[in-house]
Amino acid sequence: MGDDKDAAQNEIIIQGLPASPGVAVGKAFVYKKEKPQIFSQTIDEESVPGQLALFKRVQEDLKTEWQHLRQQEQDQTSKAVLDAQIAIIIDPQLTSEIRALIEEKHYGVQHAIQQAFKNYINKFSATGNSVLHNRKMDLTDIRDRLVKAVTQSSAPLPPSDGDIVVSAEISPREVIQFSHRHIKGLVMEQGGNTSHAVIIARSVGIPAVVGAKGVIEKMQPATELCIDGKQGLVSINPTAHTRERAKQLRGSAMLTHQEQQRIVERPSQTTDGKSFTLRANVEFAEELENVQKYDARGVGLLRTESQYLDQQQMGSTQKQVGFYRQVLTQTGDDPVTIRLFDVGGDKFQQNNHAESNPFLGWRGIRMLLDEREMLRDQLRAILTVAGEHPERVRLLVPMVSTLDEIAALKVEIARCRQEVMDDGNPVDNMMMLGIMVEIPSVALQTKHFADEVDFLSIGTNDLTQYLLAVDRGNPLISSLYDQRHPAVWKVIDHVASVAREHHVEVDVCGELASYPVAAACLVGMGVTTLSMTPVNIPMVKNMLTKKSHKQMEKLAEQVLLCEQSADVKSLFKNWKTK
Amino acid sequence: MIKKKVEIVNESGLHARPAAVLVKCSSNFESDFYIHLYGYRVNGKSILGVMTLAAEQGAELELELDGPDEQEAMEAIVTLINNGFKEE
Repeated sequence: MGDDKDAAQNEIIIQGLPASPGVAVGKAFVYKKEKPQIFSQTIDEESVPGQLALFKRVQEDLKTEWQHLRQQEQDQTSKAVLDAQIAIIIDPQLTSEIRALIEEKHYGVQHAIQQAFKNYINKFSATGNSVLHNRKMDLTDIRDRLVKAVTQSSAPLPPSDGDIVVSAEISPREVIQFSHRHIKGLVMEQGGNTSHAVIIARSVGIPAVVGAKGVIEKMQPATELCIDGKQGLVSINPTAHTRERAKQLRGSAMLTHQEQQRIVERPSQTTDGKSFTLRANVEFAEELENVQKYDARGVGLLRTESQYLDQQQMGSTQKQVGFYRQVLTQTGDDPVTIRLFDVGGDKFQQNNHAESNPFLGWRGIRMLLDEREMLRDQLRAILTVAGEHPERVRLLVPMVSTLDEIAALKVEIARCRQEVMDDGNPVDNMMMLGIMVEIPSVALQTKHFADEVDFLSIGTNDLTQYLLAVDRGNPLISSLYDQRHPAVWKVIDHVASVAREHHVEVDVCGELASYPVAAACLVGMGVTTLSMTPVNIPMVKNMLTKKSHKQMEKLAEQVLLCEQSADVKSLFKNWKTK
Repeated sequence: MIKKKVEIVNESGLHARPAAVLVKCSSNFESDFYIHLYGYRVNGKSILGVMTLAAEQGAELELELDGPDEQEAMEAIVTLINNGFKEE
């Protein structure tokens, strides 16, 4: 078909938002949740048995349904029609043709059904026989029922190795499932670049572009794509030139496995002997293998939101204990910082009060103190596991904005600890308590908060959004969102120096820590514990072990003199090559 | 394997309902069943195959049966066609 060939030569570029760095070239796999697959999706070898079984099941089901109808039917003519339809449903010739398309041509079951029926429908149309011509209706009806049954009874087909998944929206869980299938990239039409799905994509190192509007309607079966997760670019039908550039970018940006391994094994010290600590941000058990792979010193931020969102209710204490225990047992002797459930009220099904500013609303500790039972369930789970692994669990509290909140939480912790003890379990009386520093007022009053807690964790993602008054999920203004803004550095510097004076530990668990030069700047400011998605550790560690602490301190001094983001960018760029 | 020629006698030919009856009958037997007509050869147990023959009144089919019960099958099928596909 000449048209297809022409289309293949027309490169279309769509500008989305950068979400997860890296470039990828591959075949597009359009992932749709409910609507039937409209493309001639082929499947891989290992999906064949499942697709055959699925076909057999829908065929049997439809036959049973029709036989049931026939039993109830009194009219002879209708009975005869149903008999003919049943014969079509179980037709041995048709069945073996559909099976062959699945087994030999690796068609997905829907596509195989469509194709096999199409041959007969065409034959029936081609004859001049009017009776036969009318039988087409029977065929299309049965075909559509089979296809519908397949759609209803099957989850969408999974992508194959090396595909780039294109979707309107995608859940964190799906990103993890797809990563196990070794997809190369991810393109979403919706979403800002800090959704959980995107965080996971970054965590497992899958390049991703979000906010790529209109990309799905441009997809043809097996469309080639090239994506650049750092620039937020999607190229449909990339030219040879684009592919070549992508190849070069991939070569320069990525460290080889051996390089990564060498870097990971280096001691965590600057060239002049200043130690630093790199920890992992983790949300799912599936990510734990990366903690070991990149030799993270424990978990600096364990997100617990998916424990709730997966089940539409916070799992019981026992279920949570299972998850926390798994994290603790797979991280050696290193500390694990568990953050209390941190989402807004908008995620609750039973909450009917739509908030016009959910990020300034009922979320984090504010919500937990109103939902005491949920808070206590989680505290009991954390305290139980903390008792089993003394001096390893640290409790992190999100969205703290007042000292009263800390006081109220301490009462709850004491109460739950007593309950755990009463049940005959060991407890860790020294469990460290810390707060997220993400609200500007808290940062400005670090002194007062530092007196109440054992550690401070600067969440640069939300801190930046609150400080700059930029909704990071809004694609229209997300260009204003920059964690390297000079004001963010001023606040971090303030928090770090006050924490030092008050002998309180401070770390950064936001995205900022995963930019290598920014990480060096943080160390220069005295924040020597950084937590990030594990896949970023080699790049960051590479930078921190190549430079001296003196150089980093100098960088930190200079960044505080910058007036705007552009100054910071050029400072960092020059520093890197120095 | 046995073969036999037989003529379609019913007025409406081998359309959907008669085809369904024929397939139902032949499927009761273990033997493979093929129908030859105008140079085509179709699986006689496949209603879609039988229907695509579009055999009209007067068409002469050649029936081919192969299997342990080919004799009984041939007898039942020929009777059915000669009776104009009237089920017992």
